[in-house]
Amino acid sequence: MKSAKYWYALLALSLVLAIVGWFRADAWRLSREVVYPFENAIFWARWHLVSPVEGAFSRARLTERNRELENEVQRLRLDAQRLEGVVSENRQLRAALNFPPVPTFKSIVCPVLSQGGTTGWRRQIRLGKGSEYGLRPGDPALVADGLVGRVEAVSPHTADVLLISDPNSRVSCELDPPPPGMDAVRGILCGGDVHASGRDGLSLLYVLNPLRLRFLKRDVALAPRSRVMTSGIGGVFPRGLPIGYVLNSSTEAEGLDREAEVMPAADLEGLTVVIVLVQQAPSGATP
Amino acid sequence: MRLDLLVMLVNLALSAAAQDLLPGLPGTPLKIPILMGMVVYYALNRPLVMAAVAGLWAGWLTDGAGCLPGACTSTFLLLLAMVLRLLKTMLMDGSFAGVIVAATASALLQALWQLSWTRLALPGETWRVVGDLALLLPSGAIAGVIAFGMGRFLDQCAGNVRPREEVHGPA
Repeated sequence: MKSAKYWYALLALSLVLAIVGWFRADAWRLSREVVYPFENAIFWARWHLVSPVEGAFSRARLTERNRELENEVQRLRLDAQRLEGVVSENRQLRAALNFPPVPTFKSIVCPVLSQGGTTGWRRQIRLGKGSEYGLRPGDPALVADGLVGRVEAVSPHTADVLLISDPNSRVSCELDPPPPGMDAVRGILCGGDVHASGRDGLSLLYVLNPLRLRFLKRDVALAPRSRVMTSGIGGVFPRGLPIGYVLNSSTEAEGLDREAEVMPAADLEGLTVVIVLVQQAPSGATP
Repeated sequence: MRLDLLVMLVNLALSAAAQDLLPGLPGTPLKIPILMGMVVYYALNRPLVMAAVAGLWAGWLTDGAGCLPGACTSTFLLLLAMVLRLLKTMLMDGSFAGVIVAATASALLQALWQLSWTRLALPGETWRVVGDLALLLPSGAIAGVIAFGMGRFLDQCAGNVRPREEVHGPA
């Protein structure tokens, strides 16, 4: 009987906390932190136990891969040295023209702990680094091939990234290079969502639709495989991040605009590690 | 309180981790609702007040780790615990089969509840989405099996419940 009283007190306390928590983001952060140790343990085991075992059985391939990567590093070092000069020149020219300084970003490499969250309603991934590493909602997440999504919520050790393939995702984009005779062709990239594979009745498989680049100029001629980049408009994503390639285009049903199907540049299904760009204060602002 | 609270915390944390890490069944993007299965187990096997607490906490974990709006799933699971308690006799007093049947039906109801609450942008026509949600039924059954197995095992190990004794009829 005494224990029942404790449980009723616990229920009352939980109800009060739930009502308070509905209005506070802390409750959400805490729930992700509950799951984090398990996700991290699984990732750690996969990274430190399974991968070395797999590597032990393919030493020859690893040696070859190591050689390729060393060559790649050499090439990238040369590129970085060349770009340092370009950046310096660009900064001087912007200062001469009184242009605002270009925002600088810090790259944070984050492991992907899980996909889909606890429900699967949203196309999202959970990263193993959070606000302790400086991640904030709105930061872009990408891989070497292109943009993956943006950080939607953070807790001290985790960050949830909404993928660009989610139906609720919107990204301001432009074509690179623009069609001949035009300064820029811009549009809004909408998440591709999924459709059921079957034509009629109950279907058994979901198929990922291509992303849709909407609100393009009606009379623009889009070449297949044109590259789609972030436009930087709106300030959510920096300009010039690759997103994907145009597959084909058509006039929208209303006939006012043109829309194109876009294939994501990054493999959104097999993500294991992503890079989050965290904006830093402009270099001119720091002493 | 014996070890009831500790077992509930372990049950819910493990269920949340399993739900988060396991992929959904082929044919549906939705995850296996193991947290909901755990609430079904508590509603049919433990006192109502414990089931209500489990429902609130399981819903909070589902909403928080699934980026759903606050109170969405916790409200549903709280109501589910109460309704299942009323139907306990009909559901064979929390036997294995009863939990599976309840979890199967509840999985579909939970998905519809979340869908109507969040109004997320979803693909396809309404009837197709509803038809595809039917694929959640096997997910619910699996969640029931996992929740019943884990909940009953930990409760018995902690001495919170006694194993059911076989009853023999007259010779």
